[in-house]
Amino acid sequence: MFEALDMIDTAIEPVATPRRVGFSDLYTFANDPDRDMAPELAEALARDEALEADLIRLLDRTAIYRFPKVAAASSGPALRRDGDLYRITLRPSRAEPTQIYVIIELADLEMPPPALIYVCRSGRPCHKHQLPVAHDGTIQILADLGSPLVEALRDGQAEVYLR
Amino acid sequence: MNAAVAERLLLEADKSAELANAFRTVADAEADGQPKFTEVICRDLVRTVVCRVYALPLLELCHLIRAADGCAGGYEAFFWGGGPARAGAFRGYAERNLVSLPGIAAAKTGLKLDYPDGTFTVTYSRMPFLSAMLEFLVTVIGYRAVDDVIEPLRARGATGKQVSNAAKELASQLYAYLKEHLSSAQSQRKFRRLIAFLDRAADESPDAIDDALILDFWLEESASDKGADFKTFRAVYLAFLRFIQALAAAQNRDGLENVKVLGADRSAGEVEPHELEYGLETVGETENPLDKLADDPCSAVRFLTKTEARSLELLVESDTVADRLPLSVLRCEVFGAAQARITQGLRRRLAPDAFLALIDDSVAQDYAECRARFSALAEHVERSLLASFHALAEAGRAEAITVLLRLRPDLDYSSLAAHFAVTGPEDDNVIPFAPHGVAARFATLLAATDSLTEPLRNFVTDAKTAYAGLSRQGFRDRDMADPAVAGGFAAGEAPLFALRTRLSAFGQVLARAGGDDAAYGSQFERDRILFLRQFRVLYGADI
Repeated sequence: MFEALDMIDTAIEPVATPRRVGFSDLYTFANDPDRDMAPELAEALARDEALEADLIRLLDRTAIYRFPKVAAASSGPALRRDGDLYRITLRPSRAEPTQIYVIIELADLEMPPPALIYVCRSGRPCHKHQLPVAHDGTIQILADLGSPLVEALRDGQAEVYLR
Repeated sequence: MNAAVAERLLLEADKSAELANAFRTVADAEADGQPKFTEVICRDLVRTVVCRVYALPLLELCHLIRAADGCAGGYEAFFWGGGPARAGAFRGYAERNLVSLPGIAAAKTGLKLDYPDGTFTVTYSRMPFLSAMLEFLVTVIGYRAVDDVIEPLRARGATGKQVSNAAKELASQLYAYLKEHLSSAQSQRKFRRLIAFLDRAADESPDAIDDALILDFWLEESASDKGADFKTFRAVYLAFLRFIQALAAAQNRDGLENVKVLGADRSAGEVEPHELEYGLETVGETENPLDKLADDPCSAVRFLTKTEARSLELLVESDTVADRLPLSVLRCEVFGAAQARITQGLRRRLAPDAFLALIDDSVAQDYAECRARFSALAEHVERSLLASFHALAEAGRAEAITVLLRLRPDLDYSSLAAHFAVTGPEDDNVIPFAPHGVAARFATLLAATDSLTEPLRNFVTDAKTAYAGLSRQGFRDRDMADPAVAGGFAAGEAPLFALRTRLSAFGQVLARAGGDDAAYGSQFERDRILFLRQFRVLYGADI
């Protein structure tokens, strides 16, 4: 019994260490549109493959649509992802070469449109972006070529979730 | 110590550290910017896991997951989307989001699941703990693994057998994790050092443990090269406290000749920790009055601030052992706090001069001030009980009578007898008993103070004054109408009296043991020289 009591004392002994990242943080990131990925969460995800896989499972469970990795990715960047109900296209801006349009087309106008897009690449922080309102089944974002969202979407090995 | 032994001990320490980190991850979890779990819940979780009594909680959890998955957003939203884990929050969430599913219903006290062979109810008050259990599971086993195990429960018409199988599988995975990470090597090492010291210093008699022996142990062991187990005086005191408590529990249960050892080796007479559950309860792990006051329903009333509760932690944890080792408790409070300041200074990497100055200035209070702090806390508890009486009487709660009788057992209550005469047919052999009616009559009587004797009238006035003098949550006039507050006062009466008893006993022991403030003053001066010298020995090389 001494051992049990002592282990309890040791386990609950207050220590002045930084707050630890756990599943609650994953859930908040995956569900709170206003919460970007905190640096400590990004660091924990980069360090812990199991935690990263938990995030993917969580997004998988809560997303309304998931685009798998682009099959047999070519050597060039991915410019289009086709799904049953959605399509994502990257179209360079003619007016401004440093910018690009991210266009999400919705095939089923009866379904509520997605409000968030997540792009996850193995070993890198997941990127989350709030989507503007859809017009006639199309959501359009004008982004910088070098923005994290565009960079991630151009990676054929990235998984994309809409929710 | 040879290299192989050292390596094994280090590996064991790492494993234990991972488990401790998992507990801290749960304790650090936040919801809506607040701690998700109360300290009480976190302590319960640690105890449940360390003592390996998780089989039943896991079964409850699996039933709850099945019910929670019937809420919009699934079980994840139920456990992680509803804010801090509190009974009321789970109740509200279930009532708002439970989708109509056959066999699952939100009842008044909890979620009810019907199975062909019976009904299982998970109460709302149990849900915060089960939520912490799930948080711990996803921390140590992983969300995917947990989600895979409970997948069959998510289907419509999942059976009780499937729930039971899922609970067993989770228990099995947790067991496998704990087999790797719940190491008792460090505790065993500490235990052996206590025994060896007792053997040298006191002929191995646990009865010889006193304040002087604990101080000698710390002075001798804290500077040794055997790790950091006993570097702080507080750690030493806690180890002796646990030693005494474990011994007393063993004596109570089986007699000294049948003292059992924790472990899985039955051939060596060892027993699994859960078999000693009785003993753990007897040392106050489940009846801690501070935990009760911090938890629902008492938490509706702010009986103690966090600082006040923290000041009482060691005394409450020590229970009657504090009366046997009063000077050690004072040393922990005064010099233990000083040592904590020094270790904080170490982390800040102060310059050598500044660090030495910190050691010299680390002692922030003396024994007289520490005693005064305990006296002030005792007065606060007394005032809180008086105020509780006022609140309970105003709410017409029967507990007001209990508080009155326990606070003033010697008052003359004979004048009240006429007001509580039992009426009914004289030849009837049935005695009417209506406690709520008595409480209401009592409240009416107190309101008409003219009919009370002077001592009772003074008590009622004192109680009202005490209530008005406390301006914290639950003690404001606008709180009176809140039924949750009345419930908090009713539930708070027992733990407050437990604190009163503990503070009173300890105060008397201090008065007997140390005499007047002058005697404590000279004791403090002797101790101060000794502790500061030891602090310089312990930390001088670190600067």
